[in-house]
Amino acid sequence: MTTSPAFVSNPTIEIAEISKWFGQKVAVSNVSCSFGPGITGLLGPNGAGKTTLLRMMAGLIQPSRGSLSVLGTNPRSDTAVFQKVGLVPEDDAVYGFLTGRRFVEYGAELAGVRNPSSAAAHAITAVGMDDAAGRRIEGYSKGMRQRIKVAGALVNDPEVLYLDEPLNGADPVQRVRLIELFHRLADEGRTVVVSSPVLEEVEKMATRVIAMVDGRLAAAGDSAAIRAAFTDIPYRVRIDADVPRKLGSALLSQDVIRSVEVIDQTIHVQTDDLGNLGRMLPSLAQSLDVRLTLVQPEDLSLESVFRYLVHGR
Amino acid sequence: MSSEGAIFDLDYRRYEGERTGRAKVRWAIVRDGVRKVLGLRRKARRKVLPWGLIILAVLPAIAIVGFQVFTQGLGADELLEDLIPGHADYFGFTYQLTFLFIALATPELLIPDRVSNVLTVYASRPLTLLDYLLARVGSLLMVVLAFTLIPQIVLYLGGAVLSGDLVGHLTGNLDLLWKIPTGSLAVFATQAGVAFIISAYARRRGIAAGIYIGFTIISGGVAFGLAETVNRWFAIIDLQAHASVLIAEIFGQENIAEGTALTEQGISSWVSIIAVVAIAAAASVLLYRRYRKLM
Repeated sequence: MTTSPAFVSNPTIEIAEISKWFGQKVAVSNVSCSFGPGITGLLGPNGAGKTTLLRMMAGLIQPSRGSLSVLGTNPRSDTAVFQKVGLVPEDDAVYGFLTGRRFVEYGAELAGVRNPSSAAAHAITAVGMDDAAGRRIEGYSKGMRQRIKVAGALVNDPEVLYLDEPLNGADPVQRVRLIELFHRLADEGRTVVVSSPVLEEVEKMATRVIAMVDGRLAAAGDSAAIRAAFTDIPYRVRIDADVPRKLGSALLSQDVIRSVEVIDQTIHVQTDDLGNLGRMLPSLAQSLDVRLTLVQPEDLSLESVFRYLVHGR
Repeated sequence: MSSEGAIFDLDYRRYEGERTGRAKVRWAIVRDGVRKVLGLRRKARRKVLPWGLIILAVLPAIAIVGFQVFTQGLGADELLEDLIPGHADYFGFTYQLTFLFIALATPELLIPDRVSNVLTVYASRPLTLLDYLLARVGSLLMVVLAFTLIPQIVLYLGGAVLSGDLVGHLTGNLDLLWKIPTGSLAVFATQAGVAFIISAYARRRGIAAGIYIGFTIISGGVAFGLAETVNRWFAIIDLQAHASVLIAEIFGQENIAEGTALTEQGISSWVSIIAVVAIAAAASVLLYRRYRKLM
């Protein structure tokens, strides 16, 4: 089981055959996986079950079936584990009438931090909210609320950090800064689980991806490795050349090529064997006296993986 | 990109200090609840009602002591003794205000946590559902105790000073040391359960307070009417009457409960004790079940 990409060798969170249903609706169905230090992206379209899975991992809801452990213990029965866990929930979850500083301090008090003001000050600095920390949260923008929530989750120095759509509402500069912060936390050896339906965000943050579709585990591992696992789906490659039609015609006769399409001055080919295409293409172009200006796989991104997972099933 | 992140150059510093136990965490919630109830660190309009009621509860006690100071030596002590309310009478007055105080305070403790989704914050911290609920109930109990005790302390100390025999007055009224807190607990047990249940379901504070006040007043009227016309045991649905009976019993002063449906129907004070315990137990179970679904 541990050889599956759904599992890591040094897990801090272990999930075994977990399911959750609400009445007739199955939100999570028989999911088994594990999470370890570093950033793992929990990816899936809205309604895929990722927030439900995250809430179970955070001990907020009881699984209907299966078991999970966080730092070696069940978060539903051993609440002491929450001293080492931080959560940024998807919803607002803040007292608007409190100042940002007081909200984070209160979070520290609830987490049993002995010096809440000092811990809050560090967390507030970490998210770049020093200037606004003395203001009431009700006057904050959505991005500022998001950052103060992140500060609230960091204030107890968590070993495990759950982030449910943490970049919601943050402006581009703050997104970059928050992503840097999450990377730094992961580099310190913390387990960071980021849930998001925004592929671009996950791609920037996570080295490992757990993809969910319809409540089930659809894929796990490095995004490129996941893509490589889809052997029945050909890769798309974009080729720019100075004489595209000549090269396109020649490519059609090659075994590794499934299809060729020339649109404007660009060739789009589909191949099952990316490696062979890469080796064959330069010599073919040279023999035809065609100059290659760009060769680029079009679908190694998470977006393509995600598209296959959602629409290909 | 990283050159833009100057604010992060300070780095996130790990918290290396000690962790406190659950008792401290509970205490943090109690303190938060007390602040909420009293409107501390809130806008001025949030302070008006709680502090208005507190002033209303304390001011007459101060006035009574002041009046005693003013009339001392006029030679009308016996006449004034009948006019000036004692501890039991004053308690009978403040518990009516306590009812209003609980009506306004309880929604403040539960509703914002629920409608602002802040329950998630509590649920992801090292505390149990029971910790959260006990801390919330504890904050209200603390404030209610203070609400009823402070005016009594003013009367007690005022009386001691005016008596000219400080030690004699204090030792001569030692029974008040258990009667007043017990009376406060009885009032709390009678009134808070229903208020908490209403606040556990209502989404707006004003509506929760209105429902509770309406329910208490209407139940009193309905109890009286049904006890007179249908069956005398309908008198037990009058919540306020139970509080009056218990206070009368604790202070040994029957006039406090006079005119209530319970006394009119000659129902024993034991029934009130059982009813209050049953209401508090049922409210606790219902509250726990409600929040078990939410946290």
